[in-house]
Amino acid sequence: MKLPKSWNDITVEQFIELRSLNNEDFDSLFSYEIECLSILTDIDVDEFDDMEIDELSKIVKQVTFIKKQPSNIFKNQINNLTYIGLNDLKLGEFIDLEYYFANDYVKHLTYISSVLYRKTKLSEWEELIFEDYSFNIEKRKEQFNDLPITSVYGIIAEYIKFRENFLKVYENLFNPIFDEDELDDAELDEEDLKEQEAEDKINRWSWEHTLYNLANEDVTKIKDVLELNLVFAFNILGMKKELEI
Amino acid sequence: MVKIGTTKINNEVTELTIEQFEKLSATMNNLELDQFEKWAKIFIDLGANEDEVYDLDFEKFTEIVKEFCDTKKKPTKKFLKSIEFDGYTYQAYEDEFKLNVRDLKMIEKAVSTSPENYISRVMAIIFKRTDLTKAEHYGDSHIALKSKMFKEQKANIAIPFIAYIGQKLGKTAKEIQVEATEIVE
Repeated sequence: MKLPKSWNDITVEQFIELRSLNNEDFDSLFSYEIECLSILTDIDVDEFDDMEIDELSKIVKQVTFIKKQPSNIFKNQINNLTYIGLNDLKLGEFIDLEYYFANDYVKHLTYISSVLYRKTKLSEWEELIFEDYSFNIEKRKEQFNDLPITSVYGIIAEYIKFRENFLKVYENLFNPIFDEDELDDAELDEEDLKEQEAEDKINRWSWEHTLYNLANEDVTKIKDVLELNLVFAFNILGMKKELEI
Repeated sequence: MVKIGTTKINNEVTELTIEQFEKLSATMNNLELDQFEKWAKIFIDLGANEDEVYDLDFEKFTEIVKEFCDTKKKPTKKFLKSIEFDGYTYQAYEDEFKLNVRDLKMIEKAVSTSPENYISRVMAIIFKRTDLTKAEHYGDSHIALKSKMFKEQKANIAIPFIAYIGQKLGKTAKEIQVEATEIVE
């Protein structure tokens, strides 16, 4: 049985599979450990059944690194793809990343990687140009499955850090008018309730509303808006909010 | 044996059946009962007359509890290799008793899902009828049948297995559980 020695030996696909396991879903601690081993070794779960418990214990001890997180260092270059960085994100890329992070970032790690790693070429001025965000992401994400998890895992922490700072800078654009923890319906008068209802509606259609707003209520312009630089788009939103235009 | 009123009840592991031992353990672990209720239930479950148990004065009652606990016979440490029921041989091991992963998984499940009668179930998992195939050993109804047969056996035979499993489960679980480091949020 070939056992991985560190996270370097675990692929992105295996990592996603491992992290999708919840030990509370198993009726025995050993069943959970065996499922993990099965993912790591690509050996069927049933094949572990005849193993002596001491032998299993020894094997499990050799892969205890899986209980820890992989390193937050990531590669800038993966095959023909280059990390685009977060400072020049486009609004459309940010919206997609927000979706992936809000809906289990480990499960969406290959999608996240597809957004953040692109093909490049040199312009006639020999500047590095990144491929547009118009490729088939379902197809592109497959490229990341067999990579060591250590190649890309760090982008999660990197994005979370970036996001925290970004949300702080544009706090007034993200925070709802009502803080749900502080207020309950009983304390609100009729006018407040109406306002809250309107706010809830906006939150439900949050990104669509933002894009519609930035496109000056012209849906044919939304595609262009998605390609706007994220910081620029939020500066415009901030300005519009402040000037109430 | 301990005499309560007109009845004699078993107290040694060589006398108690696995079923009685399971009931006794379940009562001892019942957090809803106070000490008096626990012992009264144990004596009644083991065959003592209910009226005679409740008629005992406090001193006599505590004296009987002491006597019941003062067991003379030490449980065997030897793992029973095989046992015969109805002409069939049920074997636990070949040369040395060892647990495999399948058995331990089933035992772990039995302990957590049937805490009140897991001992007979554990024995049913460990002992396998020699004329059956691997698949047949683990059939639900077959395990249930074996479990019923083991309930009638003396508790003494189960003690080494239960002690071994308890120690193994605890040790192995401790070994394979490593504190997870902080998860990135």
